[in-house]
Amino acid sequence: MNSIPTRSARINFNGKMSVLNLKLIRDLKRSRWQYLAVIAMIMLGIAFYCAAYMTYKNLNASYDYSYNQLHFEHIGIALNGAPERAVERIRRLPGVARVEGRWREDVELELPNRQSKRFIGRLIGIPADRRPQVNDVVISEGRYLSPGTEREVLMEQSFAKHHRLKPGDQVIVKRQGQTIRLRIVGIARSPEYIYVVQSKQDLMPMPDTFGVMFVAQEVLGSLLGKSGLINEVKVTAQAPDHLMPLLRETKRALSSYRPEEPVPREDQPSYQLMQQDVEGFRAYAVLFPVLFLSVSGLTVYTLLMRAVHLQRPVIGVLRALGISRRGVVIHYLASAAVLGAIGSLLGIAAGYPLGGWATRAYLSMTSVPYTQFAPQGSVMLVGVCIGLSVCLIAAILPARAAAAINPAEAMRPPKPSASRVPALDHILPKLSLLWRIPIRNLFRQPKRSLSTLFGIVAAMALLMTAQGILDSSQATLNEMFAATFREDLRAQFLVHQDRHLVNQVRSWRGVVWAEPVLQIPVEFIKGNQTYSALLTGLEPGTRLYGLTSDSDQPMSVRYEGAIFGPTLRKRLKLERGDQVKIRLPKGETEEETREKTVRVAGFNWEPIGTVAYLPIDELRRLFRNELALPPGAVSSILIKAAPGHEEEIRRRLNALPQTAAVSSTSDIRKMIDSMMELSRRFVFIMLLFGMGLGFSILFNMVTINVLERSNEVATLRTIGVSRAQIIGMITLENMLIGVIGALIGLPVGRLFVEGFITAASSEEQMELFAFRVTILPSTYALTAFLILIVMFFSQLPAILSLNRMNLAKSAKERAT
Amino acid sequence: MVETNTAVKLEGVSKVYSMGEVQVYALRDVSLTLTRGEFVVILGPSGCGKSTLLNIVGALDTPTSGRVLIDGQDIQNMNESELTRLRRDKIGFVFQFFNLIPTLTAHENVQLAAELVARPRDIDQVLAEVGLRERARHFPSELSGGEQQRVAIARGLVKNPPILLCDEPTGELDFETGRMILALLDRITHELNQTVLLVTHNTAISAIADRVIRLRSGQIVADEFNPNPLSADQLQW
Repeated sequence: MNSIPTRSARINFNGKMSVLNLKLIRDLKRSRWQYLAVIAMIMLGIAFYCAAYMTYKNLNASYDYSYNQLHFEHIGIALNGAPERAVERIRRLPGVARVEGRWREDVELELPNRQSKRFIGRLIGIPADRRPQVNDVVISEGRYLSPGTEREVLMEQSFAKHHRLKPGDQVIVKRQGQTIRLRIVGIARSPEYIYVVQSKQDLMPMPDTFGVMFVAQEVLGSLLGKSGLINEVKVTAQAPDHLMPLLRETKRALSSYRPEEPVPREDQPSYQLMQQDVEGFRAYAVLFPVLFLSVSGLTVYTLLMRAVHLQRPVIGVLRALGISRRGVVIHYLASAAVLGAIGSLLGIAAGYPLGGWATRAYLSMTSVPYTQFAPQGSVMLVGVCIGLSVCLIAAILPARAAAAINPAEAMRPPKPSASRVPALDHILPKLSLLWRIPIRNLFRQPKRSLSTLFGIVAAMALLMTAQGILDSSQATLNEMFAATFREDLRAQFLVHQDRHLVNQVRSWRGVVWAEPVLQIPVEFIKGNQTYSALLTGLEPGTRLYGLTSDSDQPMSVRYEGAIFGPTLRKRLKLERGDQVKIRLPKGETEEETREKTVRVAGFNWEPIGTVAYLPIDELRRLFRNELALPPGAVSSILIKAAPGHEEEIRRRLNALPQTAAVSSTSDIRKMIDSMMELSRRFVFIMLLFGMGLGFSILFNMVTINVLERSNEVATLRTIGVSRAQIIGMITLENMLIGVIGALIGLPVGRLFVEGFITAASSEEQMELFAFRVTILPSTYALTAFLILIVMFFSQLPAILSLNRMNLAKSAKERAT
Repeated sequence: MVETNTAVKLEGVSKVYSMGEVQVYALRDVSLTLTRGEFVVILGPSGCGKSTLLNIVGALDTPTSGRVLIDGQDIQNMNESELTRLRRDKIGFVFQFFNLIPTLTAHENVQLAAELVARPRDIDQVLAEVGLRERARHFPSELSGGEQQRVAIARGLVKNPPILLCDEPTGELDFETGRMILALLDRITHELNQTVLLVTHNTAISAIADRVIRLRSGQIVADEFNPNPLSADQLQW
């Protein structure tokens, strides 16, 4: 209250409050419920802002700290195999801060007590005698690797947690018929695997089937027969402006080892996923508080305008007594400042624990090496400033209106407010006047009706955005599982198998159908654009891998060319009929012979992954020589199981020596569903916030309307209109505005969902997930229902006040 | 014969307000009978209980003790909806501040009251009687104070109630307009045989009344019949 230095808003040194301040406090007390509702709105807005922004900042801080402390790569380059000394070429490049070379290889992984199950393991070589220069790890349990030839391994935390692995446990790695036992000495968290995904082409975090292990580089080399060799170089730059030249220079420096395109940090899969989540939080942190605070501002404006209108004679007296116009302005601004300050402080008090919860909930879903949680004083300070500013800006016009009142005029009774018959009245059939009054009331104070409408639309947008995003992701996943991944089980092989294996699986009991898939990671090139993706070979007429067009029509692979997914289409700016070059990233032969060309035969739609499709035999033919593929090469088998046979088939698949991992569609679905649980909680909180917003605005507007018209209501009652009829009129008026609000709010809510999903599907994000906007009819119905419920309850206090109304007194008062 | 001609009957009516431990008598043992077609003015200073009396007669308030009969109906044991029905059918109100619904035109304000009763009077005719036929389509904001009060009177009359209660109906009007309104009320009383009970602190108005009741401290201190009421044109204040 004393934030504004003014004579009229000062507490005297003897501790007594000035009369004007006393008036301010009593005014606030008199309309406490309306002001409390405004405070609640500001509180919700600021709480939302603080919680979301704090989470955003804490997530960012946690990631940044982890990346800095652990020297997360700025550039990663995959090689075909190079001597360890090759890193020296990189170390000498200007702008390089740190460099580390290592061997990385994907292997089959088994757990001794669960030999019926196979996993995909990734072995990464790190130095045992020192910590890695780049992409260091944090040991959360156990210890770091010891120097020497011990077969020790650090297991990445997600896989360890999922399978309850501890230091001392053993894992079995299988590679080219060789079985290697490794002992877990520590559980590690790595900046490379905050989101544990296999590759850019396979972005679904699968802690169930994919485990990352860190082994001493020397041990790994000797186990795999790659001693003294590296196939990856990780680099950090001294400064950001060194990055672009370094991307060029590193590739050139390693050109003799056939490097792949260097991958900047921004394209690293785990980093990309992290960025998407963090940006999502930022969008939440901005969009929704803007809604809340706009509505709060409008309500403060309406409340103060009404207060000024009611207090005209008082203002006249104040002015007559010698209070300056400035004093009057400050008096009303101070009222707004009090609301803003209380609302903001309460918002911070509520936002802080909420932000803490959101940060912890979010971080618990990832493997962030270091968690940074700070109260984020700057966020709180900004929160208070925003809350205060919104209220003060909203109070400017009422305060100026108050200051402009002529003291002499203020004492005269106000003229009745001007009215006219709204156009709607002419259109509607001639209803009873008791029905027409509520309709006309909507047009009586258009600004107030618009504020109310805005509030309803904002609340609905909030309700729908929350639910709509959930709907869209659910529907996208449903579609993906229903239309694309039709198999029950998928067996993956690290080494290409022959199609006879498919025939063998088909003959198993309980197998309804099995079909081969061949996936080859390639680089697609068009013009100067290069993009790494999976080229997938499917059987023409595949039953278990559904391709659908943009318009949801089923498609099939074609011999005239490849079918491309939405990400590749957008990234490479593909048109039907274009010629696209394909290059194997790690060729076995010379560069020139590795390049192939395919025609763009069509486009499909799918939400996850970057894939292009060819008939499987066409793909085999394309790379038969370069990859020495067996004639019927397959990299995985899709299986449809008869009901009740899934477990048995899974067991048999795991028992096949060639199998690297078996994944079950229902398990994946279950895992995704459990990952969505957090989203559901967020949605629930947003629904509560939306309902709170709706209640606050409607409560205020309805209460103001009823209070302001108490003289009219009393008049109607005295001439014989019953209480039930009055309640009916109020309800009708509110429901009318509610229905209009819903008619606007539902499409606006959809636009919000679309906007949100478009923002989340920016060019970079598109590579990860491409959601389609889907809003279930039940969401529209739920939103409209919730708003109507909120409307009904928000008018109850006003209706109760009607029951207590002193008719004689109210009818005798001058209408306001 | 006398009973059927009685519009309002109050028997020993008291109204007590409790202010903490203090009990304030707004009306103290008031007995009164008003007959049809009578123009009664209740006079008294502020706080004498005249508005309380009007509110009780208008079924807006109930007495603490005593009996009130409106057109023969005892209001003592009536519930909320019965009181509403009574107000709807038997009583017309005219307020100091007109109390028109600002979103309704003059005609619609009158129509609103007409819609509430089974057999209302013809709206246009009532508006003609108060001299507002030409202004019927105007909203209150487009009418002068006198015109607004005439609309309010028309609204009271259209239900054809036996009793018309007027609370300081000229309080917000200038002298000429006030006199015109009083002339209208006087004419209504005699032409339509309606009982008009007018509350005012303006003693000059009493000159046109058939009967003048003076209140002081919640009690009737004088109840006088005026054998020679003046016409409104002759009033001066």
